[in-house]
Amino acid sequence: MYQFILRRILLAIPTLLVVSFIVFSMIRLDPESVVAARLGEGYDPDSQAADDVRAEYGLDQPFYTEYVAYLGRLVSGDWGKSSISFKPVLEEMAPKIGVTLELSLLAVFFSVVIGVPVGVFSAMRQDRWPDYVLRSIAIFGLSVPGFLIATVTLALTAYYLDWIPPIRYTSIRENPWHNFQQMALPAFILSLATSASVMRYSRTMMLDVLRQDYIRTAWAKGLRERVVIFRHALKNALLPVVTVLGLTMALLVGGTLIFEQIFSLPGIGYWLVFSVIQRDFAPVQGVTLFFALAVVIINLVVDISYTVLDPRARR
Amino acid sequence: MSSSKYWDRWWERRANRRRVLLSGGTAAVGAAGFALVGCGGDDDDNGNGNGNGGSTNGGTNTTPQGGTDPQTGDTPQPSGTYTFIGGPIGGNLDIHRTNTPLESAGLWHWIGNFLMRFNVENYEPEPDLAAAPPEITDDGLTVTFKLNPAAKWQDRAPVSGRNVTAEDVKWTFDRIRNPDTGSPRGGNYANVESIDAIDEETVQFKLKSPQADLLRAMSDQYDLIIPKEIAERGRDAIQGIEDCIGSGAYEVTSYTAGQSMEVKKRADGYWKPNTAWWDGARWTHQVDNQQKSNALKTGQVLATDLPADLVREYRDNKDFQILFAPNPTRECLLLNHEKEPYNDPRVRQAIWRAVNRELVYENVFAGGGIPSGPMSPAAANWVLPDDELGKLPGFRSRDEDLKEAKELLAAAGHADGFEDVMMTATAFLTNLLADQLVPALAEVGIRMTLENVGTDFNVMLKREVEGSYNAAATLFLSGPYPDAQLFIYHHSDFPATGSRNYGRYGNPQMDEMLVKQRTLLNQAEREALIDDIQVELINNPGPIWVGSRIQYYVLSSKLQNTNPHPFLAGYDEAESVWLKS
Repeated sequence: MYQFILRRILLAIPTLLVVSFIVFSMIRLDPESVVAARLGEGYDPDSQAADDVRAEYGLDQPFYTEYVAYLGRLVSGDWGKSSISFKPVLEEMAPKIGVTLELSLLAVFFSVVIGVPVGVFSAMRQDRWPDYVLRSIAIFGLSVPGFLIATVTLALTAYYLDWIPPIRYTSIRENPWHNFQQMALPAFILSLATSASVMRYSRTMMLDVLRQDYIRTAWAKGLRERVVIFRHALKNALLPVVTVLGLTMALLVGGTLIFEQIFSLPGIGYWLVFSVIQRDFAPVQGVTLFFALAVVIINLVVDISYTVLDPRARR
Repeated sequence: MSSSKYWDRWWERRANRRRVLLSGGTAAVGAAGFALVGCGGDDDDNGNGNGNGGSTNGGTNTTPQGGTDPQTGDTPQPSGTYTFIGGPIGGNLDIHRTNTPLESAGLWHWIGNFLMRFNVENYEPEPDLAAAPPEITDDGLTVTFKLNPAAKWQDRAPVSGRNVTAEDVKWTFDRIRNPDTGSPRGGNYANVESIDAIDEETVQFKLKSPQADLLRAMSDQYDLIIPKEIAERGRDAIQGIEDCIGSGAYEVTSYTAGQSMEVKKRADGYWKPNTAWWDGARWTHQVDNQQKSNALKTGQVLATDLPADLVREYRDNKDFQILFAPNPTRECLLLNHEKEPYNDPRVRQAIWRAVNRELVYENVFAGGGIPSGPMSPAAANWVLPDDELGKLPGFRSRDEDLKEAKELLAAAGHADGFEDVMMTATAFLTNLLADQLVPALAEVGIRMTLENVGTDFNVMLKREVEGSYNAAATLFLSGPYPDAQLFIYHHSDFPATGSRNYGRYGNPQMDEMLVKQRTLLNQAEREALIDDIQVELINNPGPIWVGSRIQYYVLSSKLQNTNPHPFLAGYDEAESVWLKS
């Protein structure tokens, strides 16, 4: 088991190195744009100020030398400094991670709470009208972009209910209820597509399990439907759903980019878009690296949890 | 529209312009705002008689004195938090280096003061930290300011509530004009020989030559006075909110780039009596117009800015008031005069005529656009009179302009037109501008292919500066006075400090006129020359100026003593506007 975990961690390292290389190379593609972003267009390229900026970003050093130094700084926790706030990237990122994580976890929660029961129910009513209706809703959830649903929902609630989530962010520690009001709607809409995925996957797996011999035996023994479904079928049917949830989590991280914009949530997705627009390179590099790290870690956790649930996967 | 207020008069003049254009067979779109607000005005019931668009009910010159609003007779109540949603919030906090409006009008105008600032009613400079208008010697070379002895810095280190002194003013302007600071306004003071603090309350500017727009440049939205102790730190003097120390009525309490910023009333009291009624203010970052409208409708904010199409939803709603004013931003088709065929004046003249401005106002600004020549109508004291503009190329009947455009192209050897690439970006609506320019130019045979450089406007700007483009659908933002709107875009001294002549326009006669107007201290004489310059720039164009957009604000009708202004007077909300509970 430990060897498996160690092997998976070691396999993640090349992935992170490749990402770090790409992230590092980004600003090297057009180094003078970094200087222009700091000093403004029309700056004097021969000025001391321009040289200072180049030195700050290591643009005056050879590529490979600076890349090694960059890796060293990353490991030691120096992810650069924002040219707007003048604060270290990690210091700025820390509170924003909490917002994005909360939104993602809440969306996963909604995905499970909605997707699994609906999928199971749909399987139990296979090829009858509830199944058709629920599958149609799932296809709608998958095919309509979340940002469109979010925008329309906000416009409708503002118009008809005189309500939208609070625009002033309050952390869960400051005021949990206020925070929930802010997070619930974006998390719910963000979860719609993933709920649909989870629902369809749960349904398929449930149908598969319901055709197994041991389920037929359970029916033959005269067990009640509730016992057959919840005690015997559900556990085995949900095992592969864990994988789907893991992959979904990675997708959700990307989805937060848009939803944090629409709902004014100060997470790292919001910050990434903002930093790109402002050409604040260090945060862009930092957030990209963080997203890569998050996806790698999520996949690692999924792999490990899957092997815990199903020992055959360790082989 | 019987009010004698400035913008009401302005809109009446726009209406006149509309008639001129309509008579020429085109529809003037700037009047859309007039029609919109004209409807709303009838519904006003907030007690000030003119709470909807373009109306004013006082201003910085009519700041409630003795605690009474001159328009309503109501007593301003010092309470409430001014809340605004908009954006982007996120530029550099350094007011002297930034070019982004919300960090200036939205924040610094609340926490700081100018030496001279724009009066929101007449758009001319008025004293702010200065005790009175400056003394100017007959030769125009020495300008001496006396400071208001009551002016004090906020009670924060390192100034700790001391008086604002001449040294602070000197260090501020020396910082702005120092090329190492990288201020986009540094060039405005290239004519300043020296700045001296004569005594604690007297500061003297020595000029190399008379500079008619010096006070207007000082009043431009970014040149606020900062303490000497901060200014002397140099280029990176202002990094965080601890460095944002002003002499204004409010002090900054939080700023998160891309998220929000907040101020609260300064605890030691403001040195200007009977002004600044708010407990504080908060701005929330949001660039999506529908979300801004949602926040306003649901009462989460008191004010926002919106495009014309969304503003229409509010025109019959008595809970809101609509303010509008022309924006100093000017949309433009930039042509590189160093490239064929734009080095031929006849081609530029043809393009000036072929551009269909009406379509831009309708389709890019949702009806909220304004016809203008080389100056934005925001520079209302300087733009060409409506009747004169209506007789000039580009503003007459479309048929007449197209006919002349084809003749000019034929004379230039392009009877069948030509093909080229037009650069644009998905930013500030310039891509939509390009979408309107392409079919208009096709009508005279100019076949443009679009090259969109993406969502980063700076990529396009960089190429404009480098000259690596042929044509570009773009826009420019600068103050509402001649030097800012004419000189830096048309004088051939590019790339001298401050110049934005990215098209490399070169016209010796124009250079001469532009230099001369800078030194004319006689207002009437200068206005006549500015008119001549604008006519010449229409007849012999450099950049193809398309027009400007109207800036709309929608506010809760609870806000009293509001003034419409495009962007450059956040101090009006800070000092004059108050909340009627």
